[in-house]
Amino acid sequence: MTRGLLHWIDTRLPVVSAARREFRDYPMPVNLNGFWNFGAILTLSLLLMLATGLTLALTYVPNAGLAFASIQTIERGVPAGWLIRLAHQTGATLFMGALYLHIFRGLYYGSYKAPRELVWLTGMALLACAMVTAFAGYVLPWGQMSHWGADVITGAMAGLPVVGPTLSHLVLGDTHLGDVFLHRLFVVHFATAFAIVGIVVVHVACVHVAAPNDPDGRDPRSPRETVPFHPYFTAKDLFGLALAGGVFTALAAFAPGIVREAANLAPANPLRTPNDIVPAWYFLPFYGLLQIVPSKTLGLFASLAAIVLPGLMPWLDRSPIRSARHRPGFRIGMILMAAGFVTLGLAGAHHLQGLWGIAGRIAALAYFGVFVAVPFARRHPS
Amino acid sequence: MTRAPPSSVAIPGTTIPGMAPARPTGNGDITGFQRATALWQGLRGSAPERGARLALMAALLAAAPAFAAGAAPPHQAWSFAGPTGHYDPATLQHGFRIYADVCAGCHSLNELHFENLAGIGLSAADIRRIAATHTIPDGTDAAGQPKTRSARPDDAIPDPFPSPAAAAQALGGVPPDLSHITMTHRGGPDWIAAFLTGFVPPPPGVTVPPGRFYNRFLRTGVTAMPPVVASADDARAVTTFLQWSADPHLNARHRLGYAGLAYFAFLAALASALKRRIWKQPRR
Repeated sequence: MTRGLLHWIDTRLPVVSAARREFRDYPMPVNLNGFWNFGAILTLSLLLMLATGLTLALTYVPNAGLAFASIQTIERGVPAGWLIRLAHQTGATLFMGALYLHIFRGLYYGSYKAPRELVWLTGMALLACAMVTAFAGYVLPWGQMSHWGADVITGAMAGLPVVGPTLSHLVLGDTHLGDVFLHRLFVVHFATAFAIVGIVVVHVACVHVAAPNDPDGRDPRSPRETVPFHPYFTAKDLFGLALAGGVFTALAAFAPGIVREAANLAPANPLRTPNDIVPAWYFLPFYGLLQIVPSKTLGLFASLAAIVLPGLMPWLDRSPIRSARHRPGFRIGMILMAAGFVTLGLAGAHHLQGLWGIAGRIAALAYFGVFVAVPFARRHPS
Repeated sequence: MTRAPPSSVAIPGTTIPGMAPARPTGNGDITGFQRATALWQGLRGSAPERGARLALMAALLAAAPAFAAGAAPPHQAWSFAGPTGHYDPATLQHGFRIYADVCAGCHSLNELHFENLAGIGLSAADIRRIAATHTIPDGTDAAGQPKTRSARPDDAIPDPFPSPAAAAQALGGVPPDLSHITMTHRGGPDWIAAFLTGFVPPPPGVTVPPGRFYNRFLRTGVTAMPPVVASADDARAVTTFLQWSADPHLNARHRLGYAGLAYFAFLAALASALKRRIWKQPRR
């Protein structure tokens, strides 16, 4: 019965055979390590975010006067509303964490190199969209941190040369952060969330056309070096997903301070600046850069460069060897870059106080230095 | 940007004659922002006014180091702390009684509805009875006159004052809402409990204006709130109740957390066994 129906559909629109070809029989390199689990983890996190987000939107009110109260209704009035919101907040942390690790995997093993440049570019576009979505989502509850975080970002945006005032007017729609701004960010949050789904489809299509990279960075030479996606990688992804589920549960239940900000439990008050404005953890490296660079505009440019430079890697790195496994110098560079990124975040969280000021500046130099040095790396190692 | 119009609202202990008072901060202390605003306002106006204000400003700023010496609250062991943290219904109900008898006279608990009190173990009948003791506005009648009715379980817990301005008129300041106070006030539950029992005679040289009280855990030292909580035990109970108000789903969250961890550990073990078995099979 089911078979007959599937056959009937497939003869008219070959989606069934395409799904079998791409997600069951698809040949995968045998030697993929645990770093290749993050694609599946990200897909599941994204579905979780869409399901919880759409549910939250049924009650949330994008209005400066009502947003905070509507979040309280979700937290205290709607059955299991608190759980759905906690899952949404934890999902954001899981998604951004997995995305950073997924991108590091791509850099370390040279997954950005030909013929996978489009995989890389769609991935970086996905990061940009995810960051906009996460920022907009952080603003929606309209608590103190929502308001003052938005104040920092829109302030920096307004300081951009030439486009600054127009861009600021477009986003704020008013002379201050208020109703119009909040409603626009609600629309942005939805639009970019669904843009992410679209980009993911293109991203996966690009991976499947170019074939996945592997830790050795050399394509499988014969069918003997590949296995079908199912059951080999479905089983492996299931194991990875179970571990990710454990991390998700531990964060949500026992470390909610990481995924949500207690200071945001105070309603937004435009007349009272909080003593300490700190963004969500996944923006800390960029927050560190904004603090290190003395000019607001240059700080914003530095933050943009911190995302654009890795996006240019297919053209910055001209070595024919893909994987850092076989490039000792590049391996050190990648570790330096990752350490720099993490240290920048820690320095940002500590407001560059004391030794963090020095550590943050060294980290920024290390991070950018790697991308500057990559084009000069030896093209043909002995 | 809307600014608070000058009014008779004053922050407890920081009334400066002739100056537009800064907005209440909700924690009874002067923030740096308010100090900066006060300084800016002190520099405006006619010469004699400016002189008087600057003298007051200088006094305020000179006193700042003494204000900053608010004692650090002692760290306490709370039932809700850590991964095994939980609320005990008896403590929550004890805390609620103190809140209802004492705190609710001045402070709002805006985010809570009566029915939420089921979370501290009160029965539906208890909640109906508690709600019915409150009278709340109920629109207007045919003649346009405001009507009232007794509250029901699905009503929000009403504010003790009809408006912040009325509260300021009666108390000399707007008492902060307590819904999330243990999570938004610096120092958290430790500070709240310490503050409630921190009323001591002022140190020599510190004069407390009439209607104000000295508390050693405030940076300003002075508050409009009188000492109302009788014992350390009561302070701990009401702090626990307020922590529940700020984070009401802790018990359920921890219970679900352990169940979820057990589930994913079991799933990971099964998936690992399955994966190993599949990868042992001869490949195509």
